[in-house]
Amino acid sequence: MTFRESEFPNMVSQLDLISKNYPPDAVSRFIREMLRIYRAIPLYPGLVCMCMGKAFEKWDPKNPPPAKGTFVVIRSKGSAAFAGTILSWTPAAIQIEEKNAAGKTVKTKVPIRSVVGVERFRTDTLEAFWPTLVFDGKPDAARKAAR
Amino acid sequence: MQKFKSTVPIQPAAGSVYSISGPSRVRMIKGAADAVGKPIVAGDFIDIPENKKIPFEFGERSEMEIECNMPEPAERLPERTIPQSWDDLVYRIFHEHARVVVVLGEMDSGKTFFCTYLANRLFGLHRKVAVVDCDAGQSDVGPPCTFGLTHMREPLLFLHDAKVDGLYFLGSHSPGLHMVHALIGVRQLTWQALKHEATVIVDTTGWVNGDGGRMLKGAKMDILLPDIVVLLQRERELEHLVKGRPPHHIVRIKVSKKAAPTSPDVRKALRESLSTSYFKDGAMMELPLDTILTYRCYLFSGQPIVVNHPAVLWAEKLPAYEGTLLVVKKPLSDKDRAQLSQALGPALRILVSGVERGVLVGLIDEKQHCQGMGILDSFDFTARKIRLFTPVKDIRLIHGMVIGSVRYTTSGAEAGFVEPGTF
Repeated sequence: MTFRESEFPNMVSQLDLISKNYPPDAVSRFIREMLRIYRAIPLYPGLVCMCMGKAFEKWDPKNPPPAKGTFVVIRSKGSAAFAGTILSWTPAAIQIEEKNAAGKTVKTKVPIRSVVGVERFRTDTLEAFWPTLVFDGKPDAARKAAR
Repeated sequence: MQKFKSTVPIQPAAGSVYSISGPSRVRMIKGAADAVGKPIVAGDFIDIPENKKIPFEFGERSEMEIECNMPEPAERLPERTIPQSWDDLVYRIFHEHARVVVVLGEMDSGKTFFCTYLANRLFGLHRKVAVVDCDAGQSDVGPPCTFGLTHMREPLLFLHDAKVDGLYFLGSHSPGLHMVHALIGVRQLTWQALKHEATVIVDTTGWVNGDGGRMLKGAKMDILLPDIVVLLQRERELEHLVKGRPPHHIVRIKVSKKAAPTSPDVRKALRESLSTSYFKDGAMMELPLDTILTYRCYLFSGQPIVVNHPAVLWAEKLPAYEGTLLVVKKPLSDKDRAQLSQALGPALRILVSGVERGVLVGLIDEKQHCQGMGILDSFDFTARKIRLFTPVKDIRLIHGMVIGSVRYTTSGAEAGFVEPGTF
């Protein structure tokens, strides 16, 4: 075999990895964000992968908790993973709004003592890491609102 | 010409070396120096652009004035920045009558500076020298998104001051997703230079790793069969590219400690200053839609057909399974799409009118030589015209158009990308 002539196979590998390790709603958001970045920089599938590799950012317990409304993936003891937007975060539990398989939203409370890790989903990796490739002409606030 | 606030005089001693930063304007009042292999004598003026530094080696006690906006534009260096190995290579190329010299190096390894030095020194030895610049992102010879060829007519401090003797339109800042054309471009320009019996120095991109970097550099060497491959490396970071190649063709040179990294912001600014300068004398022109040839795209490559549908501006039948290409006024509704699919078959390639606006194109003459670039404004299917903004004055020379993968504003600012295959 010879070298791959583009980095598209890496995008496929990334999708494979995410689909195996993340809940369906997180996968769906990941795909949408990947498409958004790909449409913005179709010449650079390698940079799409680089940005998407930073899309799930591990939350460091030393930092304040992610803001209400942030989409997170919570991993708890027993390898269960929950994905949803934060409704509340207290010393006792994190409450998120999850989308179930039928597409309906449900509220889920994950006790803090069972949480082994939290990942925040970022939708600004292109803007943060490759600002020279952003040409949508929108101010930051409008860009965030559009997503 | 840029106005500067202050003038700094310096009186370098014989044998001293100074690095002078831009933006600045240097006037040699007395004495003699050598800069990037170019002799500088009394009365010479040198403009050093922003983000550039040039080492001057003074052969005798000299006097200079530096106009600039910074307090200390000149830094005295403890020793020569150009190592003996560079000069040894110049003599080797000269004595061996090397025809093709490929220079490889990572990003920010000083490849263009090195190529300029080689070219100037070989020119000084009365050798015909040409430089092929195939870094379409940081172009020195020709505008961004092209590869350029120059035949040296005089020593130059910067290759961007060279006359452009050949252009190849890549259509993108990066060879990624344009591999085939990157290879065609470097081959065409190198062959063009070899016809003039020149020693050709090929300046390459800094993409040397990963599948794409390895493939591109390997293929360039396979296609050019260079007499000498120069590895500008800090350690051994390029050795993987020359494994199995004839050892006597490989010359290893240490990257200068003075080679400084350039941030993506500065790279973009440098690119945009080149494209702004390229398009500054541009004007809106029209090409005949019915006779112009288009390359690297489906559009205007098929058999025109008439489609009686209010949304359709243009239609053409493409061969075999490629289906039908339609240019439509606005995105099709599901109902319109279904109607058109029923009439024309399921394989529809839809272009929404306006998608062409801002797309960079290469303008090709009848010998398939690139005469310059343009920025598409519109396809006018009623007047049968293609409108574009271009500095190419004699539009009658243009027989074809290569569609690129980037968008620009008419002021030369980068404005986004086009997915390859869109057209």
